[in-house]
Order: sequence, then C-alpha cells, then structure tokens
Amino acid sequence: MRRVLTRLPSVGDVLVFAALCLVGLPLLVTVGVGVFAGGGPVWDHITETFFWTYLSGSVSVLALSAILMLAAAIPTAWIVTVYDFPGRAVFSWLLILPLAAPGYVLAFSYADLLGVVGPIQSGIREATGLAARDYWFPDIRSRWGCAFVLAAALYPYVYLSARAAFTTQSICTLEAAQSLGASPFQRFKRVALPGARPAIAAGLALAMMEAAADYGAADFLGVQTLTVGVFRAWSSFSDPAAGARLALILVGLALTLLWIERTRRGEAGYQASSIRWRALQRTRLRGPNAIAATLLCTGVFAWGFAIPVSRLAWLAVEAYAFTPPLLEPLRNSFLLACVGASAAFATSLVFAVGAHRKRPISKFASWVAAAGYATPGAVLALGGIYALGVLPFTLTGIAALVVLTLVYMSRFTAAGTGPLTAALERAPASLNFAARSLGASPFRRLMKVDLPIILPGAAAAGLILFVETLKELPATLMLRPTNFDTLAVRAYAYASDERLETAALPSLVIVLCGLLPVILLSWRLSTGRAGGGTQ
Amino acid sequence: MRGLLTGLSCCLLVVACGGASTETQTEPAGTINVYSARHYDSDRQMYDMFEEQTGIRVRFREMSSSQLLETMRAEGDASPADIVIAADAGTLWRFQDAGLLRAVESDALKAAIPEKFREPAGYWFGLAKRARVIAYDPERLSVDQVGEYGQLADENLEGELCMRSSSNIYNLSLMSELIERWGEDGAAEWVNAVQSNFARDPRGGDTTQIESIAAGECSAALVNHYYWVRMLTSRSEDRRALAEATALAFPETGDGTHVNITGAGVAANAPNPEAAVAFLEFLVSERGQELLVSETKEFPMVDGVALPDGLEALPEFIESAVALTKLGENQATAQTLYDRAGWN
Amino acid sequence: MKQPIIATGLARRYGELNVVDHVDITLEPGKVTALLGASGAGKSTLLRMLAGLEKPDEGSIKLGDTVLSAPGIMVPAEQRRIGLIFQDFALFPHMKAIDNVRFGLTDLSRTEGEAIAADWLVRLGLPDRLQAYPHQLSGGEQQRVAIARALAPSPVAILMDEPFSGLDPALRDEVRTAALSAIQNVEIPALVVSHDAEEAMMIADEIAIMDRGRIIQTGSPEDLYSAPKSPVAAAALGPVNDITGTRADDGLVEAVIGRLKAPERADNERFRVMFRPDAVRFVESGGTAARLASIRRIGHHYRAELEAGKELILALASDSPGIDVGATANIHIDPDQCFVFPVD
Repeated sequence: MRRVLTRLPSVGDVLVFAALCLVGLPLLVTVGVGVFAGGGPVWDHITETFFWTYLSGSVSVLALSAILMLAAAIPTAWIVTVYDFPGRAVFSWLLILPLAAPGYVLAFSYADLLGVVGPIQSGIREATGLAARDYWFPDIRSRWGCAFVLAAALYPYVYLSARAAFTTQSICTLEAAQSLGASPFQRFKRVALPGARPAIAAGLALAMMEAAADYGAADFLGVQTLTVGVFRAWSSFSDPAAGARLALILVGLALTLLWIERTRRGEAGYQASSIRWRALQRTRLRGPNAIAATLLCTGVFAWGFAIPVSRLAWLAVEAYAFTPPLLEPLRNSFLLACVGASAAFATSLVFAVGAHRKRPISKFASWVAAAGYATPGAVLALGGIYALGVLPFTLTGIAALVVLTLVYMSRFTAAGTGPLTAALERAPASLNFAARSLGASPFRRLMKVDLPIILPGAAAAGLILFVETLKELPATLMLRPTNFDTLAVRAYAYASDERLETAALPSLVIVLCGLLPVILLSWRLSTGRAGGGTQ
Repeated sequence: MRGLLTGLSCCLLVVACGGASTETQTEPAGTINVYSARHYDSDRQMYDMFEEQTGIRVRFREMSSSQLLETMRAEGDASPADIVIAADAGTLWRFQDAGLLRAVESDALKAAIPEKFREPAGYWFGLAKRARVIAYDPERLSVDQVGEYGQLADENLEGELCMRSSSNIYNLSLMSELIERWGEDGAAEWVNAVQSNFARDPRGGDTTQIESIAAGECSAALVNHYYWVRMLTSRSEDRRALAEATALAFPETGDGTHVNITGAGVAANAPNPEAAVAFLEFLVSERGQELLVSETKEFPMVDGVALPDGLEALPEFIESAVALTKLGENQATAQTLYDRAGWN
Repeated sequence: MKQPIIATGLARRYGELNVVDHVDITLEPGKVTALLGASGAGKSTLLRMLAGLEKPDEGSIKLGDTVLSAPGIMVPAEQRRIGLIFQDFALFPHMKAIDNVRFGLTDLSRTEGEAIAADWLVRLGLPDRLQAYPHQLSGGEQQRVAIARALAPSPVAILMDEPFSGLDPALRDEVRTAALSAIQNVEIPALVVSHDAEEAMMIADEIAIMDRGRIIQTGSPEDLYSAPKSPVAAAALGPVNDITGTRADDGLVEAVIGRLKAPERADNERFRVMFRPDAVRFVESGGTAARLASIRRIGHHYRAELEAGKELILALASDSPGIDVGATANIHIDPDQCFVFPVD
C-alpha cells in the first residue's frame, strides 16, 4: 500500500488524470454554478411552485419505465437464451434494434399513433360511433406515456445485460440445478435470475440514467420532469444557475443509482465462470408454449421498434411532397458522431484500462463518468459554454466543435467504459503480469495484450458511442457550429414546430443510420461467443 | 481494432480540416450570422436569395428562442450573431430586455412596417403577422358562443375547452394583452373561469387542440391561425378533414383579435450591423415577404404582398391595437396568473 | 431400492458426425464405472444423455424397469433424480455452501433441509464451511460442496464429468477419497467420465473405453490393463510399446523381442506387437540385445529407453541393468504380457 502511495505518478496515472479533467470539466462547471450561484428568486420560485411536480414527475417516469423495462427485457432475454422456438435466432438480435431509435423519435411516433386523431383512436370512434369525450383512452402525453415511450427505447440496455449474464452463467450451474430437480421456471427464479441480478441491475442503472437525462421525449409529451425543469429554469426564467441547481438533483440521483448498482454487485460476490464453455442445449418449445414465446418476443419488438418505426415510415411517405433537405444534416450527423464517438472512446479506454490496472484515481474517475452520463446533455452543454466564455472563444466554427466533443466525452464516456471494462475483466491479471515479466512497457502491454483481448468489447464500445452520439439532441442543439444542422436537430425542430409529418423523415433516417451499427453490434453479441449458435 | 481507430481518426481529421477551412475562408462582401428561432426550409431559399442579391453571405443557427437567448448571453461580447429572428413579440422583448439587441434606424423598415408592429426605438421589427384565435366545433357550438376571448369563461362551456400549456409563449403573450385590456384582476377572473371549463389537462401544441376538437374530445380552443391553415392545405386527406371539421372565430369586440408577429432585431454586438439592416430590409421586400410566409402561412407584414395558399379561407378581421411592447412587459404577471389558476 | 441404469443402442449425431454411436452400457448399483477415452470420444455426450440434458437420436435408457428415454419418451433431467458433478463445480455463486446443498431438498422444510445439508457437508469434511460463499472456498472445498449437493437429495445414480481434473494433484487424492467413500456408502450406480487412465483404474470397479463414439471394451481395470482387445484399448490404459511383427514360416509372429503366438483366426502377414513398459525386464543373458539410450531413476523404479534394431522400447523396471548408456543390455518380455494385433 505504501508503495502505491509514495511512488511517482506514471504515464498511466497522468493519462487517467487528463481524461478525468476533460470528462469532469463540464460537469464541474455545472455543479459549481449550481452550488454557488444557483440560489436566488428563481430558485425560490421553483421550490415554491414546481419543485415537487418535477421531482414526482421524474421519479414516477423512472419507476414506471423501470418496471416496464424489467418486465419486457428479462423474460425475453431468458427465453431467447434457454429455449428454442420459431424465430428465436432472429429475435435474439431484433430485440436490440430499439437502441437505434432515440426516445424522442419514439415519442413523436407514439404521440401520433395513440393521439386523439391517431389511427387507433380514430378506429375506435369509427367502430363505435362515439366522440373522444365519450370514452376513456390512456393519454400518451402523460407520465405514463412518457415512461411507456422511454422504456420502449431503452429496454435493450436491460435485455443485453440480462442476456449476456444468462449466457455467460456457468451452463453447468443450470444443469446442476436441473439434475437436482429444478423445473425450468425454478431454474430461472432460483439460479439464473439471482446469478444475473448484478448484471441486470447494472443494465437497468444505465437505462435509468438515460431516462433521467432524457429531455426530448418528456418535453415533447409535455411531462414535467427534473430535466424539463432544468430547461424551464433556463428558458422561461432566464436563470441557468437555478437550472444547474436543479440539475444537482439529477447528478445526485445518478450517483445513487450508481451506488446501488455497485453495492449490489459487491453483495452478490463474484460471478463464477465456467472453465470449459459448452454449447447451451436449448430446450425446444412446442405447441402453445412456442406460440407464447414467439408472441412475447414479437410483442416486445413491435413495441420498441416495428410499430413506431413503421408509423414514422408511413408518415414520411404520406408527406412525401414535403421532403426536407437531408443530405447535409446526414453528413453532419455522421461526421459529428464519428468525432464524438472517437473522443469518448479514447477517454473510455483510458478509464477502463486505468481501472483494470487499479490506478488510484480510477475509482473516482468512474464515478465522475457515471455522473456525466446521467446529467442531461443540455446541462453539460451549459457548463461547456460557460467554460468557453471564461476563455475568449465563441461558438462559431472549430471552437464549438471542440466544446461539443468535450460534452460528448463527458456525457458518454461511461457508456463506453462499460463494455470495455467487461472485456478487460475477461482478461485475467496474470496475462498482464506475464507481459510485465517479459519486459513489456505499459504502452506495449496496452497494444499487444490489453487491446487485442478487448477487441470485441472495444468494437462494441465504439458502436454504442457512435449510436449514442448520433442520437444526442440537446447538447448538439446548443453547441453545434453555425450552418451545421444534424438530423436530430432538424427532426426535433420540425416536431416542436408541430410538423410531425416533416419530422418523420429525418427521424427515420436517424433510426436507419443507427440501425447498421446496432445490427453489427447485435450480430457480434449473438455469434461472437462460442456456442451462441452451433458448436 | 486498428481499422476502427484509423477510420475514426480520419473522420476527426476531415471534420477538423472542414471546420478549419470554413473558419479561415475570407468572405467576399462580408457575412452575417442569423440566429433564428424558425425551422422552415423555405428560409434557406430566403437566405440564398439575399446572398444572390447582395453578395453578403448568410450563415444561420436555428434553435428555440430561449436557447438562442442563453447562447447569446453566454457568448457575450464575442457573440457572432448579427440578426435575431424570433416568432413572438414577447420573445423579442426578452432579447431586448437582456440587452442583446440594438436600436437601428431604417427608413425602408419604417415605411414598410406599421408603427404598432415595431419597437418604437427600432430594437425589433415585425416581419409577419399571426392571429391567436378560437378554434371550435361548428356542430356543437355557434360562433355566437365562442366568438370572443371573454366568452371562453362562460359557465356553459364547462368541460368544453382544450388548451395547451400556459408556459407557451403564445399563451403568455395573449394573457399579457388581456391584462392590458381588462387589468390584472379582470384577467385573473377570466383565467380562473377558463381553467374550470377545461375538458382535460393542458397538453400538446396548437395542432393537438385542433385535433382534439375534431375528434370530439372538446369543442373549443385557443390556437394560432396558421396551424389550422396548414392542416387545411395539407397533402394528407385525413389532415384536411380535421381542419374541415373545425372552424376559426376571430374576436371582434374590445380590441379585436390578438395579433402577434414574427420579428427580427439587430444584435447588440453585431459584427456587421450594416449588412444586418440590409437583410432586414430585404425581408420586407416583396420577394422576402413571400418567402417568409409561404411555408408558415402567416400574414405578410407589408400590404399588397400576395397571401400564401390557404389564407384566402380566412375572413377579414380586426387587428388588436394593443402595443406589442406590452406583451413583453406583462409576461411575468401573465405567468403568475396562470400558475395561480393552476393552468399548467 | 437401488437399480441399475441400462442404456441400449444409444446414439447421438451432430450433423454428419456420430458423436455417440450405438452404445450399450450398464451401470450397476454400488459400482463405480469409469468412462475412459480421449477428448472428443463422446464421453461427455453419453453422460449428458444419461442425465437427460441431451436427447438421444436413437436407443433407450432405463432405470431398472422404468424407461427414462426411448423413441418418443424423454423424462426431463429434473425428474430423473440423477446427481451430476462437474469439472468446474458449478456451485450457485449467490448461495452459501449450505444453501447450495439444500437446493435439491425441495420437499423438506427449511430446518430439515438444513439439517441434512449440514450433515452432508460434515460427512465431506466441511463442518466449519457451512456459511461460506463459493468464492470464499478453495477448489477442493468447492468440489466437496458440489458432491454433497449432488448426493443430498438421495439420487438414483450419480454421474461425474471429469470431477477431479479441475483440482491440483495434491488435493485430488483427498477429494477423490472423500467422494468415493461417500458414493460407496449410498450404493447407487456411479459413472465417472475421465481421460486419465490412472485415475480411472484407481477409482473404478469397471472401466468402459470409448473411442470415436463407440465403447470398444468394458471390463475390470485388471482385465483391461492386461488383456486389451485392440491397440486403442491398449493405449487407453496407459503407456505401451508398439513395435512391428511379421508372420514367420512356422505361423508365429516374428518381432525383435522374440517370437510370439499369433491371435487366433488371424491370417494377416503383418502385426503390431504391444507390451507395457513394466513388462520389460533386464536379464543377465539370453533375451533380446538392446542398446541403452538413456536411463533415469524415477522414485522406486528406473525408466530406460532402449533401441532394439529399428524399434524404440521404453522400460520401467524395478532394477537397473547396471551398464552405461550406449552399452548393450539384455531384455526379456514375458510373451504372456505381449498383445499381438493383426494389421491389415
């Protein structure tokens, strides 16, 4: 221990520290502004009027969406892992596709579908002859609706981590349970689920952070959440500092989620992994069970992807004459996603490797990254603008791009660190020791040992970061350089102008752009591990 | 892995170089930066045409007015903005109040824009007009019942009204005008009565309210005229049917119909104020006016400019005489009255 | 009532590959059967079919008279009550040792179950590890818990897949002894899959040698060691010298170590002559002359490499020939300990 404390900082330490500074800067500015400048008449007004509305809005949206996500993700992940039924192989990756669709895009689509003049309610009126005031229909522009939409967009986080946990659990463990007389449901309940709980909690925490940071869907659906409150403090009351103070609650919430997740992981002990890997023998479902399994997967996929995306496609076709100019936004989105993803990838990698090598500040760094992840993009962007204001830069051209990249790093590093850390954990420390004993420098160890081992995880991290950046809305909206519109920016602008039919096409293109990386990702996840398919 | 990294770093380079090259490029006859709260594709044509006519390059940045305002605040003296375009007098007042606009003199603007639609000192100018009117279901209600703003407070409209959120600037500006017309107490009485007539909680935008009326969820709502006109001129038959199932009432008594503007002002720290004024003058030219309203379905500011398709379906109406500057001044009071009434 | 497990004509294919190729095997109560073979021989698949984890393509499995598996019938693993022990222990990581053992005791109340589980853990020598989580246990302790867990629900048979190869050699003996005595006490059929001939001989009452999906020979360790029926069987039980032999005029088989009787009904011209290294004895005179290539003392015996003609011969002898490396020794191999197999 003393050796650790007294040694000189190494290159690795310096790198981790530098990355920490970059990732933490926007957050630090926001927190600083919130703590030291957040009080004042506007803050008082907020606490007197809307504070509880915001808080209860956020809490109920988060709680409802968590329930929906767990209910959708865990059963599908389980049946796709251990059973065979018609369409299983396809569903195992189809169920990930909603990752390509941002929450606000699903919100546009569902607001139209379930809205008062949408096809469903119109159908009801036509069939019954009633007027809208004569029957009850769930209101999509409500907390419930917001949770419904966010859960549809974010359940794949839970699905992915649950499926990975079910797959990597020692198959022998499940077989041992089976030989001890446990029925399939008991095996799920008593062995698989408790074993997968830390992973599921981690996936859920990630999804909840995304949900807490959502601005687009909640604002579009008119739901008052803390994030919307942050915006309102800023836009209606012109007091961004009060907004920053409100954002402190979100940061606190994120840290709480993180703390829950980490302690859960600690309690569960380590996850025993099989020495030998064996193809999981899937039980073939027949008859009603097979139909039920197929229906469940179809339902979840339809909810998260098929229905909302096909509705968007229909809207886009219907409004074909209004086709907005998309080539330039498409190019901009793509470039920005590449830049943002590579920058965030770099910090993710530094953090993950640092944590793997037990650098002293890595633990702190991971908390900072998680806090950034849970903080709304607009709040971070605000921090970035303040930081720029201190330095004599404006938001035109390259400076804006740099700040935007900084915000992306702050916002998404945690999303990249996850898969990278998981990949590194698969590499036993002995490998690194072996490399060290062979005289390999830290850099050489990184390039020759760590990187090749984490290649699959690295690819996953890169793809996730690309899609995340592509979907990001509020920070991009605030910090993009002049004459630099992205698809997300256009889509949201049209939708908030109440021109949903014009918003449909750019929304659809965002989904399509995200689809390829997501398919690559899910294909890798489904086939990358021995026994995932055939052996 | 290496491939991925290389690919990403190439992208980074491309963007960096792209950004740098636009940065260092020297513009021929100057550049103006337009900060606009509008998101219309026809605006691009408008910018292009201005470039063509004057050789002044237009660069634009579109986001919501509040975001524009905070961005300019944060940028401070270094802000590159020359022009601010916003879709409400209340919003323009916020920019002015924040010290982000400057007064400019232009005879052409003065001549083209009626006095009540521009800020007296020249901080901002109305460029297009929009009317906030009452949409209703002609099968359930007659225009005699919902023809005036005051009638929305009527007891027999209980359960008949759909409204959008009070924090929306259109509702804030209307309320600001009603405070001017009826005084704070009268306006407070009205807002309480209207609130008790709601068929449901406030939700959605103006379009949502028209849809709710067409679907029979309620019978009347406050909307800007152009949302209805856009529905009426939609390519989609379903959308047109929604507009046809509803009607618009333009209040006549008192000061008539509440009229608001899309307007613009020159930024306080504008690097290129002369070009900015030239741009404003272009916007009140015939071609500028046409492009400004062709997609939005607003009323052109300048008399004699051809109306966009669909507006011919609307009647002549009395434009309110309340000064637009009041809309900003009363804004905070308006929000307080809404909040007290529990109209979210 | 302890009953045998009888498998008849069991077959399993993966695509074109016959992983298990019509195997007959009987596991007698109270007897430990070792399934010995190289990796890929189909041992684990056979075990998994017996356990009910995999469905046979053909053949049947019975427990006494009860059919466990037959065409159209498949009793699922969870209803067979066959205990399983895995190489990697497969303990439930989220449960304490005692809860792992209690897992299969679902019919009992919590206290009863805990009493039995504790009893089993004590029997396996873990009286003070009841409350430990798997990751707090050593490998040997984990495997003891796994054995207790498999035996606690009174299974009708127990199947072990390489149960001791995950342990280091020092622990292996200890755990093996504990496991065997526990299994022998309950007098149920036991099957151990192993690739380690020595281990198989040490623990099994009967050994079945498996090669490319078939059981090629079954018998007691003694029989198999001294009378293998094929070169593969001979090699499976431990190191073996393998030299060539040819048919001599008198019908015997001529090899460098002497003349041996040909197997009955074999009219081949060429043979493989096999004998174990411990069948080689050094003699003063007579026998076969062989050059001593190397010699080394290994514990209580000598390991010598010899060259006789073109053949290499490995000897494990209890005494040294007393000559230098490079000199010629005389060796004698008892013809009864030589296995002669015809070569096509």
